[in-house]
Amino acid sequence: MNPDFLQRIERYFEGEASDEDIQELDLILREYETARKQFLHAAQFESSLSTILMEQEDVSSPPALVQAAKPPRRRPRWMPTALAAALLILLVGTIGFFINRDPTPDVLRATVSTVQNAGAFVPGHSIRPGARIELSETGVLSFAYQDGTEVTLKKSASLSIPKKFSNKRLFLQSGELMAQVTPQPTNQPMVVETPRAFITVKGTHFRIAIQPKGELVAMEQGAVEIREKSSGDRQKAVAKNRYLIEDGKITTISGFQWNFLNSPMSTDPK
Amino acid sequence: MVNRDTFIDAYMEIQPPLRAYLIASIGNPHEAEDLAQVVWQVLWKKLDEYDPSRPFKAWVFGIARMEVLKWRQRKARAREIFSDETLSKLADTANEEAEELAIRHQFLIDCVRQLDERPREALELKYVRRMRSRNMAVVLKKSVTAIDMLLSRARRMLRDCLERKVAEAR
Repeated sequence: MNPDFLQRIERYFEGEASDEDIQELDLILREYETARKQFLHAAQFESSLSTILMEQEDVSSPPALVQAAKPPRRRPRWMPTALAAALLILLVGTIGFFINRDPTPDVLRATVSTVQNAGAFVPGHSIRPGARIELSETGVLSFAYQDGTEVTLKKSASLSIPKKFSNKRLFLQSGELMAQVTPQPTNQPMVVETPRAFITVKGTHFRIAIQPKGELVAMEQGAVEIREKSSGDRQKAVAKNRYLIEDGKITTISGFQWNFLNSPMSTDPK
Repeated sequence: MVNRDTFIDAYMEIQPPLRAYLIASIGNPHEAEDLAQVVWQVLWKKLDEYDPSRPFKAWVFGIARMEVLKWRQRKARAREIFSDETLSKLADTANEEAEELAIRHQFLIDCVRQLDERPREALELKYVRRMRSRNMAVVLKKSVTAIDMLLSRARRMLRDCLERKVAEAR
């Protein structure tokens, strides 16, 4: 294969392709099947690499080095004027922003759909990052995201939705949660954090119960990845199985039961 | 009528080649991700129109192709991008190559697991944190040239590993 073609492909996926690069690539891709295959392989490499690294990494905790270090910056001479202008724009923009729109990205907006003994929550109530939901023993609450993902809480559930993430992110501290998750962007999976684990979800039906012995995850359909926090152990949880997450280990429990609202979830084989 | 649960399973399988096609057509991973969401929504809405006697992959890539063309119309004035003909041919090739692309995705998972800590860390900063070499140089306490070499070596190792696995599988 022409080395020029390979370099143009590299620049294209680096976002550094010139107009000439694009025109040349367009010509080659239009004419040659083998070039299209090679181009798609390169595209697959880029998209898969991003997805795989994202999935294998704990996105909740950026490396300490990333948090601590920031590149040095110089302050240009025009900075004071620019700062004053920016402040003015910011002030005007902020007023307009709060009047006209909700800053929460669509993908993170959810609305309460059904409630039962859920205190102040009523259907239609907006659920956004930063929200916290506390239910009583008999409380049940469901909320739905705009992409169709539905989450139901019960059994004294305590759930918080952290603010800093661009993907769907829930922290279940107690109680039970059932989710029916619409397929999520590959590099932005939904993550449910529990006291002992991270459960990474691309799209599936599952439920989680926080119990004294550990977290119990039951899979209805599809698969999720469970990562136990203290050991880092990972387990792919697949349909029709249950998994008990204890400190330092994840155990598969044979059998499955699925009646979230009417039956308690236990670790007894069914 | 297609069962929506079955559809979700089928869609999950086809995601790697579909995303490869979208990023190939668009170049920008963020815009490709946004478009993947749009494609998903269109597929979900049009599911009742899908004829199960037709190949599922072809239907998905047909819709993805239409959404890429719409995206192209919206962006055409902003910058130089591929012609309609090239985008359509890419969709056809992606459809034909879907299994191969899905297999390569699986092989790449193994290859990433085999990476040493240092190159892996550099790739994570680039692909997950979306950092540029200049910022990575500060974080990893290396020169920009050293970072570029580290990234280049890491990507080459992964490509070699991937091609070796593909060759072994044939």
